Amino acid sequence: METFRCNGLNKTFEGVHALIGLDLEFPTSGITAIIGPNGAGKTTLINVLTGFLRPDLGHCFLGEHETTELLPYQVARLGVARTFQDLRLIFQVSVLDNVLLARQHQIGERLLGALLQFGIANEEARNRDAAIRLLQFVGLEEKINELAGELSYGQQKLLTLACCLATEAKILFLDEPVAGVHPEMASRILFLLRQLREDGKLVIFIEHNIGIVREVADLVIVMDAGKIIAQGPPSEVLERHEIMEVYLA
Amino acid sequence: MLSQLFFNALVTGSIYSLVGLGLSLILAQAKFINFSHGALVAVAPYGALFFIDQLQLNFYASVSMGILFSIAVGCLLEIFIFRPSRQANASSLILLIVSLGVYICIQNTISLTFGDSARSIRSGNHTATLVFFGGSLTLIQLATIITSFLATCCLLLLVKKTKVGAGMRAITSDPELARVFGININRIILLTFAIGSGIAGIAGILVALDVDMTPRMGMSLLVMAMVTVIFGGSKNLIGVTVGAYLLALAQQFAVWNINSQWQDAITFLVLIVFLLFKPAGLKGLQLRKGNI
Amino acid sequence: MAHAAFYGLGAYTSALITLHFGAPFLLSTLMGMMAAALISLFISLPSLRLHDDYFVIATFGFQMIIFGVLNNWMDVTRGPLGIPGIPQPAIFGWVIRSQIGFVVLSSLLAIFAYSIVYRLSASPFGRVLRAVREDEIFAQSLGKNTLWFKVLAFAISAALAASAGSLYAHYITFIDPTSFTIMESILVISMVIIGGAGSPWGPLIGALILVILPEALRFVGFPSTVAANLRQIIYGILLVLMIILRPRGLVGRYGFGQ
Repeated sequence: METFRCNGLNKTFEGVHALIGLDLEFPTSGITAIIGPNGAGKTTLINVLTGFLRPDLGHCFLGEHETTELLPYQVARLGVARTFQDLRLIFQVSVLDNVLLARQHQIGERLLGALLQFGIANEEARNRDAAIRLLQFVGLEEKINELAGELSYGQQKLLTLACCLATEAKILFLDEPVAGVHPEMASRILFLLRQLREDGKLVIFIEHNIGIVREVADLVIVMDAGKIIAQGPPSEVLERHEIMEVYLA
Repeated sequence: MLSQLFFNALVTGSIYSLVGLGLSLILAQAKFINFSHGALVAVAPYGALFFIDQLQLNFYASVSMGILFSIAVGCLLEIFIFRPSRQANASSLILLIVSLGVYICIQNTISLTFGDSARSIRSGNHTATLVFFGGSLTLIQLATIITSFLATCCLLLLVKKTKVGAGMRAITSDPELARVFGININRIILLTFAIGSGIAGIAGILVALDVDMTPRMGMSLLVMAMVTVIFGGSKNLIGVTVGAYLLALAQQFAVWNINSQWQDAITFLVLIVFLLFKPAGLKGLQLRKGNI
Repeated sequence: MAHAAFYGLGAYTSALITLHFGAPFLLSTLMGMMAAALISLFISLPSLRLHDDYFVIATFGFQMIIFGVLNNWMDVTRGPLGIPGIPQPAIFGWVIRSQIGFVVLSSLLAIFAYSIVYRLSASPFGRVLRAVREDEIFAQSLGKNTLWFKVLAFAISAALAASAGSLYAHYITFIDPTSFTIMESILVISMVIIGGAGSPWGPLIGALILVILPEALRFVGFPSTVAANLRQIIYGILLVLMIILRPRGLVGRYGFGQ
């Protein structure tokens, strides 16, 4: 599996230095947590890594590919999926349609393919099966035909996770995957993350709840004011007082 | 020849600048592209025509009434159409389409009332021409340049040095924050409409005095004004003015070198090329989307 | 705002091809559609990245350019003189002259256009387009090249407008630039808004309303110039009312961000 890494990342918006000279290399699999106070630059980092923002300085690499200048859809096609801090879904269509949207390499999405409809029926059927299996995996199989907008917040978060999985991405960036959901739903999501780890995927998530980080993360990265101030296993990083003070300050 | 070209550009640029400034102010405050602004350009001279023809008012009074009429219509539009829409959370696209509908109504009402052929409010004794540096300017054209210059200066002073102007700048950069600071957004936007409509009306009168008026005069000016706003960016008044003069200059050169009928086409070609290569405007404007 | 430009491009291209090369109607129409689709790239590629409002201005500009070309390129389009004597449509040797014939022809063309649109809409391609409309950023995060989809949608719409233009040219047998101005673009936009966007029936209903209206006005007996202005005023009022009160139109599913 290829490593996702970056060096020298700098990003400034309107006078705010969101990222300052950031160097980072992610592990090839497992669960990594990014923590830090508000404004530390966590979401900005994810936006840069997934192509939604272009850094002012620095480079990002996925294996041999340089991804710094790539557009978001290009990064996604390299096998990197993500969720958003403000939940993004197509609320006006069904749960199933959202997941079908996430499937890759669809001939039916090409103009000629859609017009001539050669072999689309088979492709759609296969994608439907895959989508249904994924929805079963996350526990939304009862809601397949409901509109995404009618789900509860926690169920919508599950749906975004299902969409990420539907892309068959090896690397998932999750921006606060359990924020605002019931503890029961949160456990379900964490359970799913552990499953993903067993499947050999790399999950990187932003989190504020230290307990959760302690529970699931293999690696913790602590950010503050645009820089990485510590990284390492939770047992190590989370015990250091000065880190925790920065975090709680 | 060259100096005449330059003078023509000055005159046309002044008109574009007057219309563009109003459009730009409204865009910055009310956050939408107001097509009805074009109609307000025509409303003033036709209003003046009404006062001259029907009420036999003298020239200066009629012209003033025409401008006041423009301001009134602009304010009424804001109070009864744009403000309620804004309060109902209409997107900028919806407001744009609404303003388009309003433009159609106003322009056709003018056509219905006054006919489609050119009308005049020239009173005959302002045709004196000045000649210098090899080019000529009529008195009206000189007045146009001076008015535009004054208007730009006054607007700049208003925006940069007064309390109202500070309110405008606050609304331009962050309306929510401005509201939190207790700034009365509706009142300031109404003022913006009044000012914008006023200078649009003045532009209309000046054009009518120079080359007569037709109901569609506003549309062509509006289109040029939109180009200047894109060049200058909605947050930058000087950029709009500079853009206006540059546009006029480019058009004059095109007329000189190429058949004048291609003028409009060239203008837009320039615009599209500009959008391709420098979509941030002359001094910076968020034109590209895709940022989270 | 450039719809009339593509309508006009289709009309002129197919008219010229039928006149100068004696091509049959269907072939000329096809060429008109391809020309419009290709030319649409000139405006869509640079401008689709822009924010909504600026995109509108760019298409406005494009409309003016095309009108300028149609009105000034005397050598090819004969400018304001227009192109007279366009042969009536010949389909496999059958020349269509009667009103009934045209009704049948245009209905068939409309049905064909509708079936293309429907097929695309029901396919994964349509699924992506809807996603791009509702949340472009989400669609991008799923690996969809949203710019390309928008360019394609634009080109398809240009081609469809062009096919209408071709029909128009061969029906009236005379075209000149005044039929393809910004007002026609606004008319079409009004039809979509009043009928409703995001639904296949919306534009149809909108078109019905906005075409029957002037005919009804004629019955009331206004002189033609007054009727023309009145009609436009009614369009304007309808447009404003509709977009404010019911942005989805009568039967549509998309509220323009409302």
